[in-house]
Amino acid sequence: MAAAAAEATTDGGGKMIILISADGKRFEVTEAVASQSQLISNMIEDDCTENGVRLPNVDGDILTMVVDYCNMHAGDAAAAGDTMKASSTEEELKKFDAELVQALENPVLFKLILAANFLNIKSLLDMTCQRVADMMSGKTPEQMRETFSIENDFTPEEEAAIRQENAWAFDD
Amino acid sequence: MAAAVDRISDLPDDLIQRILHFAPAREAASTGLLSSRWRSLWRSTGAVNLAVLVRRRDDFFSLRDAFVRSAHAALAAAGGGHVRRLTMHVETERLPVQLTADAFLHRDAEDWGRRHDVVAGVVSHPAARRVEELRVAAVRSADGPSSDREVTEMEEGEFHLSLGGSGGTQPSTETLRVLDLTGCGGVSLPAGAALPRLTTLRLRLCVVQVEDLQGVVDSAPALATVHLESVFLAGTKEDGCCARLRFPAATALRLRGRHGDRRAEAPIAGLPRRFSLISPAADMERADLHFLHDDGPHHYRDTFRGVKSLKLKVTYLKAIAVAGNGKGILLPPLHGVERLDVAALHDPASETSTVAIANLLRCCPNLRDLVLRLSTVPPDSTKNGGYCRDVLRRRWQADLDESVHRLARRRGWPKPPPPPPPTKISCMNQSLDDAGGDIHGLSGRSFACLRSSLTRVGIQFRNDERSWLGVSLIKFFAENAICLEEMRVDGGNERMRDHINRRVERWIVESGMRCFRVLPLERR
Repeated sequence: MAAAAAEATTDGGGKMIILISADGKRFEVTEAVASQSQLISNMIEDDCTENGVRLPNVDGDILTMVVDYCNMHAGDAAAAGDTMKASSTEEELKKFDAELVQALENPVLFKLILAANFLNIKSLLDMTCQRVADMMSGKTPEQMRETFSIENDFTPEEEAAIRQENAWAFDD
Repeated sequence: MAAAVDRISDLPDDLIQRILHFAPAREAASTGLLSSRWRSLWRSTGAVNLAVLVRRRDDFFSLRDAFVRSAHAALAAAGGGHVRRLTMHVETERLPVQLTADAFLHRDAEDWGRRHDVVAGVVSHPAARRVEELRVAAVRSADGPSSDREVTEMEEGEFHLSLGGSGGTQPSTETLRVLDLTGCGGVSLPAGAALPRLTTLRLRLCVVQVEDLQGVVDSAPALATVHLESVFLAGTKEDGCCARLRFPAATALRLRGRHGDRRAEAPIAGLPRRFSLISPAADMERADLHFLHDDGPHHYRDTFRGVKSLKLKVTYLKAIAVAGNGKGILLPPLHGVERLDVAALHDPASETSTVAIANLLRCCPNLRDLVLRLSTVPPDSTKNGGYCRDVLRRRWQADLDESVHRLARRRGWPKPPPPPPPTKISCMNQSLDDAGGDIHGLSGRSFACLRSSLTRVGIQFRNDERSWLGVSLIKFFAENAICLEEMRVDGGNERMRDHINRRVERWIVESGMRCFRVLPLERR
């Protein structure tokens, strides 16, 4: 039975690698989980993950979220995990994803976008970009400027010209 | 230290464009007004996302004209860099009968020749000629909490989609990678057209001719992911002709129907009497199938050859028990299956449930992990924690199924089969010690998986006097699965679950059997 248990660990996880955030926090994850990041996947192929993977662009709190996300989605990407439980249902994943991005404050969300882009995790990048796009939905340019702290550097004449140019986007 | 990013403006242009790639077309275009940096970022995002909500109080026809105008303007504006992603989401509130999504998408609701077809007009725009990702949805929102996208995204609506027609007026089939349609009433593809890059096909709440669907699948050699949910497969003859759908390259296949009202029990909808799915792809690892009726033999020969993990949901467990009358789902030998998760209703009065379990054990000689989820009540009458959302969703679901079938009736398609008669209830008292005796079809038989591979068993049942089967199964697997390491049990509510687990543990000790863990089973 012990042998079977040991075998199960290898089956489901494989080798562990260490991710090190900009502020020195360490995260131990399986290769299967980490290789959802195309960047890390390439590093694993090139055999340069031995001493841990330093991610100088990613803070610990952001990396925590990224690792949570990858753990949750590992069942999707890799072949089915060891147990039924490991392969979360589509509904559970949807709920997890929604909760992950819904609660985020703007600066955190943008940092997560940068991290997903740097680590090259397409599904996370798409999801976070979609979240920002959803925040634009239904807003006027003025409301968007306010939400995203964007400074208007147009003269009233320039503004009028742009409105004219794309009247279809502004008429009600 | 990581770069400081506090505002959206701290992101590089390519990431801002990536965000705009997902934004609705109007909002994306209006970002041109934010600041000089944003002025033309929106023009080359490679995407046009069109969305319209038709509210009851809106002026229906002028809203439609405005939508069509701005859709074409958005496409024209994005024409510079070609449009790779085109999405169109038409959502209608409950409108007076004659004003439906149908009417919104066609100038003349009665005119099935589809003059002034809004969808065709949009997808045939020159800017969309090389589209890679095409998602079109016509849905009806429920009058519930409209912020909850999941529950509002249901309902009918109807449009036809033609791909790759002659003269280049339809989107090219050469570039298409993802096709995702909700509320579609038909897809057509000219003979000889190829979809060389199509990898993902998702249909929801659609009505398609079987041969049209097969035509799409056959033209797409790279099609790996197929997701069909509440799809009415029309055009199959009722005269016993066997309809087949083949998915030659699918590595992930997901078929789902929906529970309906009691009259409509066939919502992967209106499967023909004899139906077979064939997918010889050796690398299909997982399959998740949900059957809602069992009135004919279903053949899944070769479908699951490479599958290691199989989830099955069938309305009645006995449907898997192939009896002499040739009814039910005929399962092929599933040598590759290591994990099997079955959810089904069982009829306590009938012994065929246990024959079905025997069939499963026989078909899966290399099974390592088995989960049986048995319920004795129809799923749509289960009280489920009383979450308002669940209740509402179920109500909308019933409406949905109703409308799918109304649609079917309107077109003169075969009616769904009548509901099965209510199950008879036999009263049986049970406890682990006197749950002995033979289990029909199981006791005394030898199964390869019990001898050599089965290490984990999960059993979910409702622990009431009607359901003796759960307890009998616990005993059967405890006594017969030689390599068993773990038994997971869910005997109903939380309190009962602990109670059952303790009883099983005590019973194992008292009966001096080999030791295995007893744990609560996760619900799915």
